[in-house]
Amino acid sequence: MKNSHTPASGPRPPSLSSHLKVFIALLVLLLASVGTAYIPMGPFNLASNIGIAVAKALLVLVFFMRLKTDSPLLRIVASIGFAWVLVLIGLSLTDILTRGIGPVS
Amino acid sequence: MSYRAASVQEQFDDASQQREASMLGMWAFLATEVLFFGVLIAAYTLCRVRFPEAFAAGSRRTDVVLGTLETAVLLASSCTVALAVRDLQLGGRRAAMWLLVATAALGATFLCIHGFEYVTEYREGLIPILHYAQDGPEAIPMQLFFFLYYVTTLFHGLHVTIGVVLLLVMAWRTRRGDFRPRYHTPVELSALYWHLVDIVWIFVFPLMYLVGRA
Amino acid sequence: MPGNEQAPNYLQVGTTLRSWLTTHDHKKIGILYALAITFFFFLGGAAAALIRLELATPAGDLMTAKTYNKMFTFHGVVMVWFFLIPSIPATLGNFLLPLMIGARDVAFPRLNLLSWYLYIGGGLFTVACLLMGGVDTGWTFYTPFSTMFSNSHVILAVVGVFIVGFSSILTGLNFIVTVHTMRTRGMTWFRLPLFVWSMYGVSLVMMLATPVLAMTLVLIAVERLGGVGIFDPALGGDPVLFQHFFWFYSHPAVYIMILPAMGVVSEVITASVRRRIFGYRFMVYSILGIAVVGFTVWGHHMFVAGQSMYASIVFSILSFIIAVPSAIKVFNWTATLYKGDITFRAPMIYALGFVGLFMVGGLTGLFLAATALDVNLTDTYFVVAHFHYIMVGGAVMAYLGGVHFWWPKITGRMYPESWARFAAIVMFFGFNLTFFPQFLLGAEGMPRRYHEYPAKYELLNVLSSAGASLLALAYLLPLGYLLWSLARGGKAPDNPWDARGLEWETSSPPPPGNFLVQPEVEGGPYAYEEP
Repeated sequence: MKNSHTPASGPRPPSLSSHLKVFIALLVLLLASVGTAYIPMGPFNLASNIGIAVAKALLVLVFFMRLKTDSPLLRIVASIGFAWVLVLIGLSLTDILTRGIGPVS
Repeated sequence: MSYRAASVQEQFDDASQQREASMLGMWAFLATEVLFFGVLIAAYTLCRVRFPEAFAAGSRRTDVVLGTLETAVLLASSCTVALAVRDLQLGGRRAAMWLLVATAALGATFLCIHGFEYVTEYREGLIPILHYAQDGPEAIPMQLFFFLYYVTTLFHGLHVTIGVVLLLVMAWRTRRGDFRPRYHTPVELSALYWHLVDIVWIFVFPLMYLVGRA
Repeated sequence: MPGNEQAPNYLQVGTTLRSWLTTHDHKKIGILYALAITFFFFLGGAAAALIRLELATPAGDLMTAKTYNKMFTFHGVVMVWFFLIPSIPATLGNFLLPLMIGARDVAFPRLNLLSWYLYIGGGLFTVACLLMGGVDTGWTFYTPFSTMFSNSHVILAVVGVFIVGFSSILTGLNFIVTVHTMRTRGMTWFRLPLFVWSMYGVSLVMMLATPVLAMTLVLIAVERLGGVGIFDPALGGDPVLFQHFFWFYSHPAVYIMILPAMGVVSEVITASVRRRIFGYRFMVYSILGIAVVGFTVWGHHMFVAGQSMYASIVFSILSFIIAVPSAIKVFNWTATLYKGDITFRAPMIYALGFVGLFMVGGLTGLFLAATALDVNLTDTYFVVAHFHYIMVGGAVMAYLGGVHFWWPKITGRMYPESWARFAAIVMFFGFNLTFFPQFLLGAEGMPRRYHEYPAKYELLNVLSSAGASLLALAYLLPLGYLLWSLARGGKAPDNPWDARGLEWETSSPPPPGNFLVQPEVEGGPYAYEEP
């Protein structure tokens, strides 16, 4: 009966320990993200920064915001905003990266 | 249905339809919020691609200790508000109220710490428009970084402020007894909003504070 | 439940001004929008009339270049944000969406009223901007002119558009939640009328595009006030970045204008041919396809703006792709009409006008999506003609067609049929006479946004101005006879066109809660061939 809905009040409440575990995981990821920022890794600094941020955001979305147990439609709605930002960034980058404009000296 | 009269608005058939609509509406609203901040992140990305050095230099001027502390505070507040919703669902009204108050307090703490950062940055002359006194090769494009830093953090701060007020109203309504285990949608919606404010910061933090540290 | 004479209709409940201004009834809010939108339509139309009057002679004799700049900016701002974008969704959409899905109201009625007040608030700023001297940047607010050089009231105009943007976000949000959660029993997704689908598509676009515009306008205002910003080339900022953000909203905004029009036309055509729509599912998928792909084509506005050639090629290809779902819709309307027994009432004349004009507008859009041609045609009257074929020939024709089609339902009165047909036909000819010469002017190289021009362009400009007067007359006619019909029009039966759809099953005008008995749906839409 893990996913049984009580229709008027949302999905079954998660356990206290699961929330605390997520919180600890978030703090660990925060320290990891600050720590890795000081290790010279070239472009991988950016990758680890973004990667860890995505992991943290997913933890909040899935557990604190209960996307894991709430209706699947909400998962789609939640991802649309992020997807559209990626379209905006991605297609604008096709211009900026190929325009041959660099820093103004 | 006496229950219906209490909390179901007339356009809905029943409480579950009302909750479904409210939740979907809130998530849709959050998607628009993601886009509001997304424009700033996009502007940041497109400027940083062109001025990687200036953005690294700018980022090094931010206070990484306070930034980390702020992130931890917001993460903690996300946890407390999630617990508040859980407690309301389980019938723990008193605990839920105090958890909501704690969340609001953490939000206010975040704003205070960030205020200290702003004051220091003003003294150092890092605020475009108000007081920008930098020189050196990166000074001009570094203004782009600080411009975006300020627009983004102020816009985020506005959201935190709204969230703090919202959470206090929810705490007060919880105390008044508006919510029951079967009906506490307003608290759920406020919590979702607060989580989103947290998620925005989760992305702002590495992009603004952690560039060029290595 | 036809013919229940006892129940009061929504117009008889709460007739004071106060009850109108505080109403939560989606039908009344739709009418509030209709009133406000009509006001702005004629305001923007007045600006257009002055523009055409100025262009009737080659010399700039009516107004100075500065005034002319303010005039076309005002025309653009008002027509885009205060007429076209809210036109069909906020009026017909508000009125019909809950009726068509069998709901008592939209999901968030108070939010709906708030949207109207936001619209009015944004409108006040825009009118204030005009009264204080106007703005001269063009409706596109291009940087760095808007941020650094323009001496006009850019901030006031930007605030007005910012506020009205929230109205459109909230309307979109409301409609999406309504379609998802408020459908009556048996109203499955693929039984929804295409008008509802188009409202759903347009709401998606409104919600996902408008925040980008709002934030970009904030950046403009900050940069203009503070003198520092990311669009300032002196700092290494990039004015073209503004165009990216602006068109990320404003290109999908074109689909905000045209998708609802497509929805209206699908309803009107099926009712006039008494046929099921040809290829219902393809119509649905093309609505969603237009809504989504519409977000990836914005760069075709920037072929000569300094965008990289590589990006231009990408955007050009994507722009060709979006012609596919649009073409599917035109084919399917045509196939619906094929060998049909067509009744040519006024709404149908508007709908057929829409199909033809939209096709011309769409095909000339392909010219502009081709990078090589666009370099020659961009910023000429060819572009002006192209988008007026889509927005005026497409969206306005469909809006008026929809207003006539549902007029009996909304007001409980019949409009005078022969006057309406006459107006529709005059409008079609007036429109073509106004804008077709502009294609030729553009092809001959006349640039847009100038208040004077060489004498060799005079003939075509005079034709265009003559057409504009005809068009103005055609727009005033419905204003007259529709108002007349409110008092003198014949009483409308519940279903005057014998059309299908839940909105025709309730009384005309509907009772406050829309249906006396909650309807149930047992089959798909447009069941005209069934007894």
